[in-house]
Amino acid sequence: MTTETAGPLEASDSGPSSTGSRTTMILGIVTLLALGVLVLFGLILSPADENQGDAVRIMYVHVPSATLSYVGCFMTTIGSAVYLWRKSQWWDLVAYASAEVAALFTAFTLVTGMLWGRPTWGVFWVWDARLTSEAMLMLLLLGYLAVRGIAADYQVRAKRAAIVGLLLVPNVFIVRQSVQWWRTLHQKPTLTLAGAHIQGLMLFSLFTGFVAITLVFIWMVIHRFRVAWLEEQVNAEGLDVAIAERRAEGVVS
Amino acid sequence: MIAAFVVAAATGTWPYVAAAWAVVFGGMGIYALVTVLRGRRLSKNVPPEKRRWS
Repeated sequence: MTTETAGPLEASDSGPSSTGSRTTMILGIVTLLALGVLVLFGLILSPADENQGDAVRIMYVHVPSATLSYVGCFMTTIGSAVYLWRKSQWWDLVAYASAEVAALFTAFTLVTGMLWGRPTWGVFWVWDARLTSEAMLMLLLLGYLAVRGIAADYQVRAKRAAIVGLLLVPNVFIVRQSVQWWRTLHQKPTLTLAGAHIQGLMLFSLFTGFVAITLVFIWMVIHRFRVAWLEEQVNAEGLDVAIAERRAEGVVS
Repeated sequence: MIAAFVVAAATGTWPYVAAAWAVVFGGMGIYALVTVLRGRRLSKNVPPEKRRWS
């Protein structure tokens, strides 16, 4: 994707010089504090689990990463559906930004899950229903991003990606239900509407993980959305310049 | 005490814990940095009226 088709603007402009704003700066500071609290509770104050030992500490980043990857997929599917319905660029870019951040968090989920599996199950990977469906979700997200990267007109690109984006939520549902539908090595959900299977400081550390990583997710989606917006502005301006040049050539010849 | 922590970290499950946290925190840091730098580079090519964030 070409992003530098237009020349640099004059230094006298008064707009923000990055994707940051006062809101995201405050959000960023709060996020850093929350990550500090997560490190304190997750790595130091939380006790080791009776069965898993210290490997339970991986759960404080693994479970929130998995949940936020699902949230990103939901946002992508909703953004894609609204784009197909109303042709709104804002929703298309929400879908795009969410998909990229969801892909990052899905990668975290897979890697941290493998690092938890080695000391707990004795292997990094098994072709278990949950692990396989999560890997399929990762491939689908990469597919969405690849489709967006294919050189084409904005509307064509956005429409193709939106169709792929619609498939994400059904896939998330399969991932979520995989431990119920099939016999798997992966444990059943730790947190359910009926209650939690962990207590005390371990539950609080997991809660801290959810808060901190949710804040990171929000910060990333906002910034990624703004980058995508800027990319489209640059692309549109480059296209306008190219059309003007072509028209000028036509007049001359 | 520090020596005990280092020994414990070099054996058992701590290396896996450290690797998992490093992947997540490192990944988030790198992604955030790359996104901010891309935003700064692109902002130079977009008129200010089209990049009003609040």
